Amino acid sequence: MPLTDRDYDLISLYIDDALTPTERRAVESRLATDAAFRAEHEAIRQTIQLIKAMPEMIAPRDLRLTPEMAADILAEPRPAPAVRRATPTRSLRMWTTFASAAASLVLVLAGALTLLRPPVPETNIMSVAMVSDVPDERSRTAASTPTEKLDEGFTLGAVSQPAATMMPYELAGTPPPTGGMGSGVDAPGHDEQDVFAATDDAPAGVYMAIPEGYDTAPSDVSPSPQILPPPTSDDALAELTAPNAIATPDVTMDAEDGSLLFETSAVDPAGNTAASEERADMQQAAPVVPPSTARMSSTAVADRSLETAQDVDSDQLELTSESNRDMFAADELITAQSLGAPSPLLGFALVVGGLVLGGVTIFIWNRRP
Amino acid sequence: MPSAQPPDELTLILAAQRGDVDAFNGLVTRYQNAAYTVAYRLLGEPFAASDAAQDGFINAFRKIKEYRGGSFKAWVLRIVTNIAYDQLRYQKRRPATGIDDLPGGETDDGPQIASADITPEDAAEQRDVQRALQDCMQALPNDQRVTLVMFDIEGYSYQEIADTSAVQLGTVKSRLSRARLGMRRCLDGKRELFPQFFRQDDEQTIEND
Repeated sequence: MPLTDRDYDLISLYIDDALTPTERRAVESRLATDAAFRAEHEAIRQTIQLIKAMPEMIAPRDLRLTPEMAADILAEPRPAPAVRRATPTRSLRMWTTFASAAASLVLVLAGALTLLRPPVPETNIMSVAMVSDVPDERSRTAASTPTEKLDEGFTLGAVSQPAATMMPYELAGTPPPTGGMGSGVDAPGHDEQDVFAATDDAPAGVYMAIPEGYDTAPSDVSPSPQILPPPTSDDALAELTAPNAIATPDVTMDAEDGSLLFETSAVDPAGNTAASEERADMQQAAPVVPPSTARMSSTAVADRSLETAQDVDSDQLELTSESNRDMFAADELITAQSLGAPSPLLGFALVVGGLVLGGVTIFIWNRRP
Repeated sequence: MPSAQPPDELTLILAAQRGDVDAFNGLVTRYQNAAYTVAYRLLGEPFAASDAAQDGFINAFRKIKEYRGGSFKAWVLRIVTNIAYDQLRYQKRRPATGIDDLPGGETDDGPQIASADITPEDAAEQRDVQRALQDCMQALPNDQRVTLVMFDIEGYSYQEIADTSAVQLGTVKSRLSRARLGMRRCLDGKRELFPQFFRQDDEQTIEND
């Protein structure tokens, strides 16, 4: 059987003593038993002997350098030393690159923190009424013609707002209402046209109705677990603001999503019922304030899309009261996003900007001389 | 009056590093045959081989200050080998050698043997044997020939050849094995020149019969 290339490899390596002990033993075993393998081993070994025995030859001419050749070689310019000192330009480039890398790192970290920042602990300063499942037309109707809307009852979504979002309220220049109550749609100074303007022009987000004369200062905030309708001249409003309107929340856990379900029912002396439910996502570390601890300042109107943008479960507070039909109306709409809530877009922008800057930095660094 | 002892190699090297051309030429005299032989084994043509050897010494003098000890002969032969290897690759891209320049051609008088004190008949026989070996070597692919010369003639290790040729260690072993097998098969066709070489083979054949 003819030998394979692998056999010749083993023979060559065996002659060079470059086999592992195991391979060497295998080759020696085969040499003892395989005549063809042994013959080829001997032929290769003698071939190597002939090659190694090839005599040294005599150079056909004198290869010594002539004085002219040596002079030319010695006159050649010496190559520049391999090690160069850092010039000011190179040093500046190095520091610029370092600063750019640091800036990109800061951008990425800031973006990551923005994206991953847990919700700011909510306060009981105010709650934002939000309509979650009400169609746009309905919301627009509620804002524009609250009287008609409230004929069917209305829905309020209670969303607690971070303390950091107080400033816009204060900037709104709303005077504090008596007893911390929100003002109604018929409150003095209310301009219904403002509602339309805010609804149409404001960006997506949770829209909150801020009554005139409402003071958002923390010192004025009462932690009373009341659902407080805005003060109006209506007698029913006065009844709702009475202490007997205190609602006791029932907290249950949703079996499906593990969220807490706050149910609050408040019955005013006139027999009207105000009920609220709030789901608090248990995955959020921030404490959840039941709607019973929040004060209803006024009616708020929100789009369905705005609710989605805020990623808030639909917290609905349904207040059914014919006597309150004139109590709740939006005085002013302010987006929660404009109040400093974390913006995923900003986080993404920071991360992307940092990554781009880092890539540019690496590119420049690799192209340095 | 005793003759002056030739300067030792280290003295010549140190003097050459100071720009002493005569000292460097002393080194050239010592190793020019070895340099030419390596170049000839690789290139198979006397003029190209002498030019490669000459260029090797010129480069050696240019880089003499970079020499950091060890075998000066091996250092020079490595330079010559690299030059011949580059020339082979250049020829592969632009073959310009005439057919008469090939080994065995009319213009090739064959390698000159350095050894002396042999009869004309023995010299002729040796010449035929060496020519046959050189022809077989020249018939190998360049990569195999370079590997064969560097390992079996110059004494490089597998790793040194791999580093010089910029190939993997396994590639060096494979090339060497193929080169030896090619030489063995080539010489098998010239067995009349190597009676001693094929004698054992014939004996083994007889034994097997």
